[in-house]
Amino acid sequence: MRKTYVGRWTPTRRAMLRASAIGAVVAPFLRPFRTRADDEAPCRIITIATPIGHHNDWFPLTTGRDFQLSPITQSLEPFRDRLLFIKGLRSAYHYSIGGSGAHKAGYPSAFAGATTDGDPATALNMSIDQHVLPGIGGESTPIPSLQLGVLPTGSRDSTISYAGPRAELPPEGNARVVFDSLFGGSDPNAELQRARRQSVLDAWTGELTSLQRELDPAQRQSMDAHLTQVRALENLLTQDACDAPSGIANENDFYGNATNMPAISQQMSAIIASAFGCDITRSVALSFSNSGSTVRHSWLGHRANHHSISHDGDAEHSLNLIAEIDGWYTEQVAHLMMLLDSIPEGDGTVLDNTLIYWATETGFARSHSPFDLSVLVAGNPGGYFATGNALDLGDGVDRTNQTPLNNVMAEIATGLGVETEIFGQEGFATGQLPQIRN
Amino acid sequence: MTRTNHWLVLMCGAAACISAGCEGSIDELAPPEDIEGGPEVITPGSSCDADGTPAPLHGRRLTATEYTNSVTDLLGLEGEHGSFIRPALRAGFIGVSLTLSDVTELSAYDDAARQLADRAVAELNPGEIADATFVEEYLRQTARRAYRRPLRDEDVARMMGTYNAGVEAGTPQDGVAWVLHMLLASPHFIYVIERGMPEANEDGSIPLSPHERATRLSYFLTGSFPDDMLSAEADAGTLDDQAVRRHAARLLETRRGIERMNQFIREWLGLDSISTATDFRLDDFGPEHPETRAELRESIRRTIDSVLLSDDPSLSVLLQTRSVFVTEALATSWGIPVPALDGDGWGVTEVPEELRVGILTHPVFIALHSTDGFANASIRGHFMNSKILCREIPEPTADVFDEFPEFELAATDRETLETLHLGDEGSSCYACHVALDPPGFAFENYDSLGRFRTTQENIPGNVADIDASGVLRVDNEDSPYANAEELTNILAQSEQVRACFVRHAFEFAFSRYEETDDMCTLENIHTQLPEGGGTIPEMFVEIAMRDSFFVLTPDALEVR
Repeated sequence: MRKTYVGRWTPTRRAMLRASAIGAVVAPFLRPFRTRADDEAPCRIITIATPIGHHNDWFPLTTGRDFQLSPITQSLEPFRDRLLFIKGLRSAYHYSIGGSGAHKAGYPSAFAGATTDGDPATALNMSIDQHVLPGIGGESTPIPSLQLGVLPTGSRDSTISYAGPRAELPPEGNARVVFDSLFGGSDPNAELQRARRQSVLDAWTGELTSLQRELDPAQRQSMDAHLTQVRALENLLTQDACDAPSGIANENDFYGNATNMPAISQQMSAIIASAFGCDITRSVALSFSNSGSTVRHSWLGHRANHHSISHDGDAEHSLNLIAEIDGWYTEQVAHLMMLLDSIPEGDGTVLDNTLIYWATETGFARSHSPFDLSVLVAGNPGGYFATGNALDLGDGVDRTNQTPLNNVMAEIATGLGVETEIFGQEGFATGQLPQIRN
Repeated sequence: MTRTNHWLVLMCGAAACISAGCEGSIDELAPPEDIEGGPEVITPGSSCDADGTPAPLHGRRLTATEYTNSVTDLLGLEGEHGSFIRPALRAGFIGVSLTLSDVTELSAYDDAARQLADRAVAELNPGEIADATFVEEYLRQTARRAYRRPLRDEDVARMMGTYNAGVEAGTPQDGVAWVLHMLLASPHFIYVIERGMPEANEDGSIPLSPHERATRLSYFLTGSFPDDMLSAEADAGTLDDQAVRRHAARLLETRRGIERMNQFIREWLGLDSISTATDFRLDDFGPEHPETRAELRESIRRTIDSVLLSDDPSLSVLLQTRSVFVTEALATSWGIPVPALDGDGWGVTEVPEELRVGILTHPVFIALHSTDGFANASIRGHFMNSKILCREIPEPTADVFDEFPEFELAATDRETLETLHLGDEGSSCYACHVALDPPGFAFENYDSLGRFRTTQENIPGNVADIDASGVLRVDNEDSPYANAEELTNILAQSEQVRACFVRHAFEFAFSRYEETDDMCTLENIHTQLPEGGGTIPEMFVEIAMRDSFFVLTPDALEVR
């Protein structure tokens, strides 16, 4: 089997040292916290979606605490003590009545534990990144949460964040827009612009406040959300100077162009790292592209698109291409982890206090299977999670009795301070997942 | 007077059909009475004197197109102003979530509003800006149109407060710019907020106020706020049924009205996905250049416009038009003779009917319903079933995953699919694909880029003839066809296809799927149309004439 994994990132010496030292020395002394860390080290969450399932070897080659990463996920080796791979999970979408296609139903299942109401990108439940906000102090930061996309084609099937039924929170794929919102642009008339913005924000606040009094509950909820965003803009206007990321493109048409995906991915990672470092927000949903992605990974030398390749049988050539795609996505996640790990916080780094949940929309992609899904939980806020492990929960279990993905999310919510017995769709989720906590 | 259309009932049986899976044949499910646990069957003349009570509509936010149109009409500035608004699907059409995504989305509104306000101020006459009386009148008028209702005292106070703050901090120009900035992302502008009238109807539903009626009508038919004539009618309190009919017919003849119907057809056909397709089938149209997408989109838009602007702007003409609009590059790529081109580089070819008939054979439509280099009859058949015939095919069930077979490329695309899907009559693949694929076989004469072909050479050295014949199950009959031309002729005559078209127009207008309570609304739209279905503008008018189009539902009462 041909193995070509394009490496863009070399682990730093420090990261390598951490990787070799921590697993052996520090881990045995970690105490099982059930609440979040102290106030000085806030807990955070990043949910990550990459499309169309995984190559079989995305999951470690061996399970248990001494799991062995395959070449596909080698870029995560420096963080192995903070990784928790889980496979053998089932997704809610199989149980969807009148569902709208397995790909499209996949993200709502993977991130909200619920089916759709017919249109893709509508989930019948709140997504995990929103659900945990009360537990991580989401309301105490300038922005409660951020929804980012690397190539969110029209953003419809790229949505992984939901405030509730029919309240999709689609991602923004233009890093320039995100950058300007969070870190402000430079303006020669800064003072006048600031006064103008403040005045306009005041007027909107007045309008929204008077509207809230006269609307029905559903509309009022949206006005509340709008008011929250107005306050967030106001907070950003008055926040202290903070290290802004560099390297954000200026041309708007740079974004939305598939060939720029590698660069956009790096820019979004830099924005997330700065937003966390500055404590602008504690919850980010990062969607790489739409479910059932038809991105052609031209930078890997691919001629066919991802979706086509995934249906191309078991031909060795196609499996190699899938391995390359998976390897690339893994490198992106590793790069993000590296950035977070480079920001010191308390005795550790921002990565230590961040929970990363990486999921995809399908199990066996070729047949759109809702079974045998694999996810990665990484980072370990509060020491709650039993990281440094690879668990195969599907071993010896009939597929239809596999553990619902929802149970992983129930555990994430609880670990981040929102005690949750059942997460997502009633009748599907079966509880928590004690195996993944300390 | 009631002409019951049982296809409407069948459509509502989709959920029942899906839970039934594909055991046996889908076609057995066709007559509504065979749907187990399906919806109640509406019998002629029994219950549809009035529309049902519609499902709740919890306010709306302007879609990208609506925002673009509204800003253009408000300020006279051209541009894709609303492109930053993140779309969501509503019943398969492009809509938008009521709730803002996060601060970056509000920030994008703020940026757009700031830039637009500055552009608008730059176009104003400096002498006028210095005239405080003129400015106040200008701002009042702009706000009145943006808010789509008479201004309240608090609106004016807030607006003039912002104006004065701007003048004080800067110049009179700043004052105007600050107010426009505020208006262009004001919740009263970007949301359609509806409160209804104080008195509820007998069935508990709440009638909309005259200005709310005018707003719904206008956004449905033109994708923009009410124009002065319609606003005046709302102001005068004379927007009754007759006036609605008159204005609806008038608005559909405007440039915005034509474009709105064009947009409905494009979204119904799934054509607007060209704008966002990442699939690099587009590459195959030639070296990638930014104009390709725009040209493809423009070609289909012009073809639809030519039908809408013709003497008979009907569904059957749309299904049978032979006009294909091309640039030189498109004609060459599609193997169509280059016609005389106008100054913009566009021309129209009337293609011979043995080659192409109707919008469903337009190369762009075909290309978008293909997969990489493969004329995919399943994808084309899926479209035909769901969008043309309103026949729901269930998603694969768990047992399908057990028997996903290996397959090899056969001599033609059709043969490959037939072997894979229909090779084993006992398989669960067969149960669904036997209904899914056949309507798609009619388009075998078009390759994955929409080019006409009569042979295919999938296997080198093996030139195989294309077979585009099949049997279409429609109107409860099996109709054999030899090719796409014959298939579209059958569709153009079909009652089921017309009813399905009405259903999708309903979904476009109401921005949601229909529910059992909507059966009478659908039925009443259908029965009001002339024999043969009438024209597309007539259908839009009849939708706007339904009582259920202009009410709020009882749950809005809670806060009153």
